[in-house]
Amino acid sequence: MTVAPETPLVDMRNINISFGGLHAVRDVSLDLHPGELVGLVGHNGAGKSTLMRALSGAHPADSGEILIEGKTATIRNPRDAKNLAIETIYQTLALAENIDAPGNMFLGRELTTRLGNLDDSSMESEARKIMKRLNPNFTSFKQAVVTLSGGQRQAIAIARAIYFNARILIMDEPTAALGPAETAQVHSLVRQLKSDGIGIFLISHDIHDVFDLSDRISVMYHGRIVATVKPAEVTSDEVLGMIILGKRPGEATEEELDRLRT
Amino acid sequence: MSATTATIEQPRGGPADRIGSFARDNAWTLGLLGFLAVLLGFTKFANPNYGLDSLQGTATSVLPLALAAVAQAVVVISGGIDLSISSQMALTSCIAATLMKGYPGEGVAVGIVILVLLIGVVLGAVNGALVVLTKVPDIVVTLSTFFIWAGFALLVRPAPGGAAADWLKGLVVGGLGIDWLPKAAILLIVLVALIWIPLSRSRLGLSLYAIGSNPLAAFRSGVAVNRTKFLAYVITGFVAAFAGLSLTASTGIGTPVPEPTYVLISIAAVVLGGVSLAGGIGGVFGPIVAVVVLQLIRDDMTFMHVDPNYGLVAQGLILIGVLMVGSLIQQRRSRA
Repeated sequence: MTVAPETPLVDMRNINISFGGLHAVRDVSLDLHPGELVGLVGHNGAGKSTLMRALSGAHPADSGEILIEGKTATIRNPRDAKNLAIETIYQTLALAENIDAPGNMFLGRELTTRLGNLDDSSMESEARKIMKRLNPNFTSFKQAVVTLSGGQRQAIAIARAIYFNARILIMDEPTAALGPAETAQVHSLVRQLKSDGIGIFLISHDIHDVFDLSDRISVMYHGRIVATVKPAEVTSDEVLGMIILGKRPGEATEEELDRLRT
Repeated sequence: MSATTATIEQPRGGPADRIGSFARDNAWTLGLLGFLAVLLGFTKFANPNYGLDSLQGTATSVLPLALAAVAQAVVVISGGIDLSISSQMALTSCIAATLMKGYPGEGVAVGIVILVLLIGVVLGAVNGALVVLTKVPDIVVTLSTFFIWAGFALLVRPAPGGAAADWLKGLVVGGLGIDWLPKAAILLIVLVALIWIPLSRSRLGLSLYAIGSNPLAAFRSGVAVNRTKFLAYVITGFVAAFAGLSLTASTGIGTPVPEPTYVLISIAAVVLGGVSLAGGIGGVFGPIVAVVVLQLIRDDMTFMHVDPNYGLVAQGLILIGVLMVGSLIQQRRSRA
């Protein structure tokens, strides 16, 4: 990662999100640079996904500011986010089960003929082209995606993101539903996307995934960011300490860390 | 990776491939058509007098129900349901019959038909707006509007009556040139071709299936879920107005009391026709065939002098059977 005074791709400032009385995200600031992967880790309910939903438009922030390439952005719904080239890949629930792969890839941004009809053959051939790159074994272009495996569905979701030239990718537990081979496939894809200059936020429970892929790791605890660290500068124990105790490496006592190890 | 790249690789799709995938996609409807053919044979056996005239009669009496089933199918595919269809039909039919009595003239009737279709759009828009804005379940909203439209129908026409323009009657009664081609069937095909086929080939059509399959995924994909849901009810209201007009055309009058079985049969036909009540699956051709099947079963029971009440029982049993078979198929699919 090149640390230059360049404009960050994403600059989230003082984001707050509440659900009724629950303050899920408290005054969080976070940035992301082109070609960088920032891992977001933390307990269930630490606020990682909620923070990312503010960026993906699924649930707008209550207060705070989001700058995309230095410009203040208003993100009220997923369409706004997509117009800013922000794409999200979810663990589940991102595909319409009864529609085929090309339909899902182009859902919301369908290709149409000059008469305004759906251009099924163009959508299918575009889908074939991109899937050839991502997953050459994928051939089920005419079936409803409900009949496909988790890996195949995730490939469709990723294909959708990169087809539309995403510059900012949010991956929310992208490999949680996948087997080892499919996970490895996603990892190599992630590295490829980074080298294309795409900025990626990765939410994961898997510390190894995060250490493997991240340029920086941000740890969230009770709606706040405890610290943002580089994987080379910390041990996985220290990160676990931050996740579980909510304390920075220096702040946790030896005793507390010992308790974690047992 | 650009969206504007020209098509390089054509998807496979020789004629044989296409017929194969058509048969696979429409297996349920084709099976239903086969059943319909058997049923027609049986009808001829049960009532040797059942001839070409009877076929026309069946088509004329089935037309309003078939249109109601199309209307219902659209909203069910989008994941909703419309219980107010039969009173939308009663209201639009009464308005049409009353206006055609009050302002006779074949030319004026064209204007009246257009007005009534617009009223159908408004009724659907009210349903859709209430469902989207109040977030009250659609089954409750449309049950409430069922009573509202029924009340308006009685205000328009306290008793059955009115008139229908001759050309309107001519559209649905009798055969077209040759006896075995009922005009009502032709009209149904034309209407479906003009409404459903463009819809299913449009972005809105895909959005209907998407919000019916998984509203959250559709929302995350950038589909305007609320707008799509609203438009589903608008289209349903528009088609229900055609159904109401076909009632006026086939009976020559408007009847203010909605036939409650219409809405039930429209739902039964939608289910029997392969549309999932959970949304996102099916089309309108299956439900149309299903309406004819249900009507013929009732007719056959009449021919065989079976108490018509048993006809209702039989329809209910068929429906349960279909639902059971349907969920079995779905279970097997999700296991595969």
